[in-house]
Amino acid sequence: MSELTDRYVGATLRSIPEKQRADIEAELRVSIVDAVEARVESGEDAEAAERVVLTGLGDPDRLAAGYAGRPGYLIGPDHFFAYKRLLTVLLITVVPIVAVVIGVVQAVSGDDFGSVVGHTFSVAISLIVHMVFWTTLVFAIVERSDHKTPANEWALSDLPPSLTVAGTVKFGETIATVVFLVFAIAAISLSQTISPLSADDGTPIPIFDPELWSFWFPFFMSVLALEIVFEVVKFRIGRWTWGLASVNLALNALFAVPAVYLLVTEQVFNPVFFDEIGWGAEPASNGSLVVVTMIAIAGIALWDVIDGFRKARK
Amino acid sequence: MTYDDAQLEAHLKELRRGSVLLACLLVLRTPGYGYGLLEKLDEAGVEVDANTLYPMLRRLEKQGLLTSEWDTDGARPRKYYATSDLGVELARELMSSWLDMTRTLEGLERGES
Repeated sequence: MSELTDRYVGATLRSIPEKQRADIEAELRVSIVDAVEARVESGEDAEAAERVVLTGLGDPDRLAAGYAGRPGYLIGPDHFFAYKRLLTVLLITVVPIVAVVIGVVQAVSGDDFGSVVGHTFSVAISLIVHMVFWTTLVFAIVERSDHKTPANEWALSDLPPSLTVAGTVKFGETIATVVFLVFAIAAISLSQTISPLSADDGTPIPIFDPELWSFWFPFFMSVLALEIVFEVVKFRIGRWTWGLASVNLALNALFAVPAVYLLVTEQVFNPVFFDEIGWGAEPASNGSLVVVTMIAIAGIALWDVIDGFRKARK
Repeated sequence: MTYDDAQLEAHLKELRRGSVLLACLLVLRTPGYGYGLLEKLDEAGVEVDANTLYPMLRRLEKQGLLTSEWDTDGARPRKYYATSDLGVELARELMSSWLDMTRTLEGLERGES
């Protein structure tokens, strides 16, 4: 067995789960040797035969995907249309709304026309990129986890609601929540670059501690993105269930618990910001700003969780 | 308008899909190992690539349609597969559907409805 075969087998096994490796390796090796031998017996040169056999087996990644039962595509036909519908709804509702709001806010705050257009445009673009990315990621994960349960059967009730029919309220609610969540994500990501205060050299002084970018901001943004997914799933199911209420509990906890912890340990606000407005150093954990924020976060989370279970019980 | 070779190949591939599985179940009523099966299918005129067949054998085994056993007696150890009772049953079912389909198509070709 030559180095070429070793490399081929190695490349195939690389992405195969540990416990299947030994068995697949032994079988694949003997299959290759068998095939090479058959060619040599019919008069081929051993080295050339090996090349032909390995070439015939093709891309090792594809072979490995076959062994591991992994799909060779990101989103398959079972989920593609649900994916496309969701993405379309998100893009044609959220992007225009957010773009208009950003544009108006900028215009009101007295920016010139050019910077209003430029800023609105860049926010819209990054919003589109975010929404496409997260939606695709979630569907790709579903595609890879959903081996046994077939995709939801399409039913007549999935027809898009006509705008004049009652029952569109729920759709509106979902969209409103999604827009709010997108705003929250945008607010977090823009909080570093947009601030009423700026340093002497013109760089903005963010209200939140810049250190949060190392982990907590991306974490909170991910949780909010998950909540968007949750809203959409809830809308597709059409009513609150115990499962949804439990997931709602988990998501709220994921957000509220670290948020309160960070507030208590005084890691949320930027001391420079409060120094600048004359409050002295970072607001203390017993300061009124921190306490009010804490109560608001915990209160909203608690109410949302209880509301979910209450609706699920009906 | 005519169809080209690539189109023909694509249609044939579509048509053959599914027959490989049935062929495997039928051939492996006598136990066989990977490359040996590949050769047998090739001789019988069933076109299948090694990189399709080998993963498929494992998949069928996982579904309980094949059983497997390592034979370490020969010059090199080989994994032998054999169609299980369940596999034989499925093969019978698929075979009868296949024949039904053949009859239906023949009927359509003759112009019966």
